[in-house]
Amino acid sequence: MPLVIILYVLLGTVVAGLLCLIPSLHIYNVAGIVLLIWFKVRDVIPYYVIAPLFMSMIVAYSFLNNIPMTFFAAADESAGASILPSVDMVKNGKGRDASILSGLGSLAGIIILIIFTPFFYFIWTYVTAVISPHLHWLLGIIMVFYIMSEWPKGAGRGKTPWEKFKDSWRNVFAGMVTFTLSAIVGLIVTTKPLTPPELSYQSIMPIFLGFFAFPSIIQTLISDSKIPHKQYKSKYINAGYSDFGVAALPGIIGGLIASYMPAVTAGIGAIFASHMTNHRNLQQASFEKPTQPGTVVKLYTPEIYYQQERVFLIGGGVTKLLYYVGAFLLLFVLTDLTPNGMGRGGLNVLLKPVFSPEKGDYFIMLATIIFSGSISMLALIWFTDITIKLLPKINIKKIYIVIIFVLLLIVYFMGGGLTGIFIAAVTTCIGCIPVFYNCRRSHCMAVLLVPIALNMAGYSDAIARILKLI
Amino acid sequence: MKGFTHFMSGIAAATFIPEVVRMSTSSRLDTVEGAASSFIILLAGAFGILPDTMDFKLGQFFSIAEYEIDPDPRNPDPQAMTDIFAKAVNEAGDTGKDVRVQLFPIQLGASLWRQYNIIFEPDEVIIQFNEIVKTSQVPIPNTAPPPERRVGRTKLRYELKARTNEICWMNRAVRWLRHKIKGEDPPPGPVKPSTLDILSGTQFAFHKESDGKIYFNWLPWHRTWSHSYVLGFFLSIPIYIIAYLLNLHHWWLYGLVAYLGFFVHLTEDMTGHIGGALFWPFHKPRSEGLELFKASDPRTNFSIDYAAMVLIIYNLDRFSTKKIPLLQTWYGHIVFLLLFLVIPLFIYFKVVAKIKEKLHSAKKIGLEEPDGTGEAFVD
Repeated sequence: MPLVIILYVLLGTVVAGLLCLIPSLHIYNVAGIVLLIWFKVRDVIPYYVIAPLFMSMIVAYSFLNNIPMTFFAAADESAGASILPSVDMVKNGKGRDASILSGLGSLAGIIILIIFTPFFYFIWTYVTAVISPHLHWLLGIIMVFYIMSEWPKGAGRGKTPWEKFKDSWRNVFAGMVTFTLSAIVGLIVTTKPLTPPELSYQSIMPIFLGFFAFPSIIQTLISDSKIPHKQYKSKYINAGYSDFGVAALPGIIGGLIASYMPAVTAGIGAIFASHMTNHRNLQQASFEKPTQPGTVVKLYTPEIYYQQERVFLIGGGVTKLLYYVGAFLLLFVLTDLTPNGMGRGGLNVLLKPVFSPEKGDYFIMLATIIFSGSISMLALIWFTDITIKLLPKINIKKIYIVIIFVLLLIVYFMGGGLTGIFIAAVTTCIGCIPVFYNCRRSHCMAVLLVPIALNMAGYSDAIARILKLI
Repeated sequence: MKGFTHFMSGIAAATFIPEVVRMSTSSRLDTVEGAASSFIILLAGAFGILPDTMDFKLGQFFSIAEYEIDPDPRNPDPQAMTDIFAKAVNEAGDTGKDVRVQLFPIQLGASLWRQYNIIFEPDEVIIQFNEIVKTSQVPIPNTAPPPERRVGRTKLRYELKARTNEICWMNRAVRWLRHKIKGEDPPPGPVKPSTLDILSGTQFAFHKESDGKIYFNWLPWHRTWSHSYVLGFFLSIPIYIIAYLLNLHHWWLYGLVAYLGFFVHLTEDMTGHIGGALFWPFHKPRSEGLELFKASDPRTNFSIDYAAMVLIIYNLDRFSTKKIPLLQTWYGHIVFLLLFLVIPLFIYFKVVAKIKEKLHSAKKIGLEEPDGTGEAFVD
């Protein structure tokens, strides 16, 4: 039996690792296809390998998705105004460093999961037991802060208050529109599922492809920025122990928030963590004696400012691993307080109808994570090098056009046919608002946040009646 | 304090009201009397961040400056900038009227900005352009303009000062308290230099005082009318009315919770360098703060955020779920707070102190090595 599990873990790592190199293809789409295959051949694949197989897939995704995210993705949060460090690093020939640092962050995330095992069993179980009857308003405060903390990005130019307001408020207004429209879509699809019941486990897929994948592809297709072919290979990993130490705190906070709160993504968790920690300000920029003739002062920018790129990437890797892998691992923390585990996330939703965790599974899953994570880290280094060598030969726009057709086929066959395509088209339009107006893309998560919070509070029927959905 | 800190503190404060916690518990939990799945606590968070929201999303647009300095990104002229700045200062001195000047950032690309300093000598203002910086405020090496186009300087006819000597009864009270806590203020130094780089600009107001000097007021629109206990009370009135009209159980708590969030924000802000116009519109001047912490200090913000989270969990369990065995005895409360609040914060401060020591003892290196190092993969 252990050998069979190891073989399936290897298979899951390799399959997910290869497929996740395709830009815009999410692990939950791949997992959906694998689950569909498993339904057809369930006599051949033993039941006990299901959880390790899917765990290895999500581990591989957490590592190898760094490659498309680093080299081929458009900036995610607040695209345009705040280019993520990885995009910036690729532009400056440091794409390899960016990809590997994110991977090392994920590797650090695995170590954190191991160290946190007693915490999960003896403290986190109590935290979840205490806050679970309060989740509706906790989700509410995430939404309120998320909306209220989007500050105007315009400089406020204009002669009158109204002109200044208009110049500044474009992104804030766009964010509120995106949030509201996404929430309405969420209320409609949760009240009146538009996909057939036999595909209910994939009902959210066309919505998410529309909100996130298609707008990113559109952004890349219309953008005139090119991936610079000249990339450098650093001799070392270009990060010190202190970078990992500083990145651990925001990474853990963001990861724990995202792994426990339903519909809260790693991006949203990371924003909360960065608001909470913000340790860059431990050392401020200072004015010093001039070093160049003709100047008055020298503005010394502390090393901690330069460190933030590395901290962002490593912390992001930690958060991502806790969000994807940690959320699934928590399903296996079975105690008297949490008889059904504490798992969250897409993989839990997918597997719930076919799989139930048992006591003792936790350590098998932990071993799976270590094994799959080690292979994935090595694969990340190898595939990053291959990707960089292939960069000059790749026409990313042509690849994305092919990917559009692949995703449309997935939506058509697994997401409800033409209805699924229609839903994806609507959500693509909404998902394009952040792309063009520089607001946070995660506002689209209102599609889940609002219905879940209302449902937990028991108000979903009342709202559905007000919207005349029932 | 930062927005998130105000937000979390407001929520934590609301959870000290047992009835609010019970109302907020999911009605599916039938062991808690009064559980009603209420969202009432959101009011504490929303009102907790509201004063800054009103300032930065609304109030600043109503502060129209008499002079604007908006340099051309393609050809910025530091001399023209200091000339306008000096004209504004001199006009305030000559006429005795308040004059404001607005400076804008210089955006060069999606994530590229030209950084500049505004430096004050006793009798002149200097603007110096620095390197191009990314949105992360990290400078890009070798991008500073040539020396002949880098610095502008213009003489001022009036001396600038950073502390006002025209203080009202409220400021006197704040100063008295500050001196009690911290001792006497150090002698007033020159106006500190400012740096402007990313996203938004900044505004200064100049006010001539009786000693003939010009009081230099940074962000004159910030923490004025929006940071008033009185305004907070008026803003909570509609909440009382709406809750009453909707026939909500304990309707009076809704306005109270909203006001609590607002109150906590203003009180926390008083620990910083700028206070607030606490009794606007009855008493309009903005007070100084107690100057205990810098608003951006990560240690203060993080420790308050962490304490808020622990206290929220503590209160939720005490007043609704009752799952934590430690909290079943009176001494358990002390152990809980020691274990999860005092000791972690003690460790945090110890670790951060060590990091700070390391940061300060580190050799100051200049700009980072140019991007792209090591062996080239593909040329």
